[in-house]
Amino acid sequence: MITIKNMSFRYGKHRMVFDRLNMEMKAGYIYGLLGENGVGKTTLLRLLAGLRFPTQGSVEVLGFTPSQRRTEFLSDLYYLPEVIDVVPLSMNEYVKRYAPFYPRFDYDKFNYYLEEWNIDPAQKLSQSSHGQQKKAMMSFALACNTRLLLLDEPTNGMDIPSKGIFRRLLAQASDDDKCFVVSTHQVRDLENLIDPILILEKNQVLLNNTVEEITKKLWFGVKSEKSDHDLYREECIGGYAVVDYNDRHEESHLNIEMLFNAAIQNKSLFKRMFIEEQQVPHSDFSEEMRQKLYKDHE
Amino acid sequence: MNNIISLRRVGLLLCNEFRKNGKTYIIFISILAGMYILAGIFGGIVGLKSITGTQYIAALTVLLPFVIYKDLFHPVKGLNATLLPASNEEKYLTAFLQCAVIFPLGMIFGFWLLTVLSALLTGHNDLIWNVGILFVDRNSSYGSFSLGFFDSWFWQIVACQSFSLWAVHFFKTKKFWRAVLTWFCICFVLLTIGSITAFRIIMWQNDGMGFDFAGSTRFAHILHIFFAILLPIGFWVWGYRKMRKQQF
Repeated sequence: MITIKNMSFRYGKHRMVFDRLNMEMKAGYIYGLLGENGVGKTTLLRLLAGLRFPTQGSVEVLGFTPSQRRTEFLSDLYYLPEVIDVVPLSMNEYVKRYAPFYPRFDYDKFNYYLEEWNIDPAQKLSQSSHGQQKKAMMSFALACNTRLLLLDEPTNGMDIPSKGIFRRLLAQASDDDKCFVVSTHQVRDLENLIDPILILEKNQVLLNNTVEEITKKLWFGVKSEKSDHDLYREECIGGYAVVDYNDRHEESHLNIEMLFNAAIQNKSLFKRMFIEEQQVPHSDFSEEMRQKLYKDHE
Repeated sequence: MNNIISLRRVGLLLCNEFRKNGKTYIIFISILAGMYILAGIFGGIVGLKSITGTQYIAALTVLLPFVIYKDLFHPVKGLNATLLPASNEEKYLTAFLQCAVIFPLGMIFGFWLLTVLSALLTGHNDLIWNVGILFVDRNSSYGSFSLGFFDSWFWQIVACQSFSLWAVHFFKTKKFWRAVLTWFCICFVLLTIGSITAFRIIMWQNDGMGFDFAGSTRFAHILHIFFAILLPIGFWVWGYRKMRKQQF
């Protein structure tokens, strides 16, 4: 569904955001796009939506080149930015104006989403709270029924029950033909929903794998004592919450926040393990960790 | 063909534009009506006869794109329009139809209606605006050389507006002021070239050198065609190309 080949992108002449990025995203998944501030999550979404053009390389989305912004492409994509343009319209008016452009817009589902979120379709968006606006636009985005849905920080401004509804509605809306890409910092809001997980690093992708692939290589759990080769650990009740190399091939429950912190702290190792798909021997791994700890200590 | 230009989508886009810009239209028509009423109040019948809608309509038509497309490439406000499933051609055609056809015609009709109303109220039938003359050759000062409709008043305001339409698609922010600055630069360059040419001609004549009037008339015709037809079309095409390449 999305193929990125050797894509580079920079702002101006010097601010490189992506350097020969390669990536694939398939239909039938809800991708979680994670990364530190400023690594280019929003830029990547805008490149996929055709709002920004790559400096080099190619981006292919739904079989189209996004920068051409062709009608067939735009009618199969919906991009919901983090900051919404608040129009002085009610959702009823908004739908009347914009839904006819989306050939598969589902009016029944739209009403269902609004009901679920308890949104009054007659109320003007400009008179609603930020969270209400987000939910109203999310309802529209889901009802457009596009094959590709790009969501930038969708849960920002939503209250706790709304986040639960969001997870449920997104899961209901996804099917084998659709691909959702959700960029977020609020990883806990999307736990058990996003799979695969895509972590962006400066200029590069650090990880683009399914939860199954990740938990095959990494172990998430609690240990009573810390060890030299913990990829990442946090103090918790009963010891340390740890991300470790899964050398015993045990099953564990992925903790996205821990994974993200581990990835950020062990960038080169993650790249070797997940992007270059190297089988990192445990001995090498331990040694690398030891060296890293030594460096950190220094 | 349907994917490039669909009449249904152009119609939908136009409807959306009218709904979105309804307030602007009302304000512009109110300005025009206000001017006319003020002329009537302070100048009576003479005032109403002296006021020519053409100047006001021209000014409002040239200003229109800056008002309705000020947020066209705004990173937040511009997204809705850019990502709306319609082709670039349809979106540009909508902008063109709205700015260069529907709005000026609407304003002309509005002003004509005002003159008809004032004629009915005052009983002076000669107050009614002769709209027909706006679409025919203005008998320009180029002798027998005429471009027909392209020398009409209507085409001239549309041609002037092509610069505005280009500017709103060319500049991402501060569209109006950048356009004004660009306009001054163009005028300065043209005036400089014109002055130098005129000075040269005078010098040649003073030196007793022959001056090819037939050649200069031909050159004037070429300039006339360039400024009246090619330049506006060039601005429209350039504006369209810039729209396709704008990033957010």
